[in-house]
Amino acid sequence: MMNFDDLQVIWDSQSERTMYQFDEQALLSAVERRSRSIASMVSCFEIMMALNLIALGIMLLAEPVLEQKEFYQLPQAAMALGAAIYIWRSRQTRIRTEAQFDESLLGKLDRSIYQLGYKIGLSKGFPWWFTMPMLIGVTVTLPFVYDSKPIWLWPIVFGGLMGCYIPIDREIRNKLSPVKTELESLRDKLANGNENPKTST
Amino acid sequence: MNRNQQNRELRRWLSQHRGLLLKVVRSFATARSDQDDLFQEIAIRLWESIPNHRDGIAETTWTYRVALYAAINWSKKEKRIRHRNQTLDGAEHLLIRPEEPPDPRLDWLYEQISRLDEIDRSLTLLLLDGLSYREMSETLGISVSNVGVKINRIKKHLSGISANDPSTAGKR
Repeated sequence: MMNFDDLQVIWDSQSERTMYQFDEQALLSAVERRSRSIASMVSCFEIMMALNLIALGIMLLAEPVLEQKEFYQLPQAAMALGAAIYIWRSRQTRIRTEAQFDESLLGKLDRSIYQLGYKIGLSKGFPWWFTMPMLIGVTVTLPFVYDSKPIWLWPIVFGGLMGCYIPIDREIRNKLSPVKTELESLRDKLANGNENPKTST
Repeated sequence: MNRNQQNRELRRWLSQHRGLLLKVVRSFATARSDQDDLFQEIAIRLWESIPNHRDGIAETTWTYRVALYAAINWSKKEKRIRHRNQTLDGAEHLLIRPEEPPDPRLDWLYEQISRLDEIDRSLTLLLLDGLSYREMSETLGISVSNVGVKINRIKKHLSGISANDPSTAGKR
């Protein structure tokens, strides 16, 4: 039977000769390549959505403001710009909150859990801060633009906008929520857990 | 800090803490392609963290924090991947195995460590690498007394495994 000191001796037997070597230049090239594409997915999403909504708002404002017509576009412009402001303020809050976590393993886990919760919240809110304003805008616009037709356009647009949420919901259920739950479990174990060591599943 | 400085720092950290990083890789990944991938992931996280490193924190502590966190995140991601690119035989690997024949006892120990969950695995690595309870507490962000309780359980668990595992018979 080996006690822990015996295991320590085995561990300490590792030396330069018995350890793996690595190709430093290849590693540094890989770091260079991958670091150029490092930008948080959440950060990209926030910036792209905000810019798209600002662009949409400006486009919708152009005719009412510059040509004094198509005033029915104003509510949708207001909603697009309002949604952009909402996303930008959420982003500022997120960045401030993330800076408060410390750099220990526990702090990093807490930060990851917070980031995942933020991303889930932003995704779940998508129908409210994006789809609903767009839908209201289309509802207001349709009678003016298509007065002789197509009320049938409305359910198609509605279906299309709501359909955007399907992949988002799938990502939340299949990826984000399970990962968040696992990290929360690890975090609890690190901070509090005093049960016997278990093997990972 | 500009990019060149950051790259130089990374080279220095990789050189000085090579053993620590490779032990983390071996404990969290077994297949060669996974070890390559994890090692790259850790190197990238280390590179990213360099500008944030503060003088008051020992480099070893900092490196452990980054490496263990990267490994834990990587292991969560890898569990969900169904299809991975399989490295062809003979293709170049980032990590090069030593020419010396492997020590079966050491392989066994790494296997036992890799079977622990991520937190106990991290603690075991810190313990075996001789970090003090205070250093472990700083690395993990938990109290020294909490570290002590967990370490005692892990020691009993690993000693118990070695007593019951027939593959360690005669491995003294």
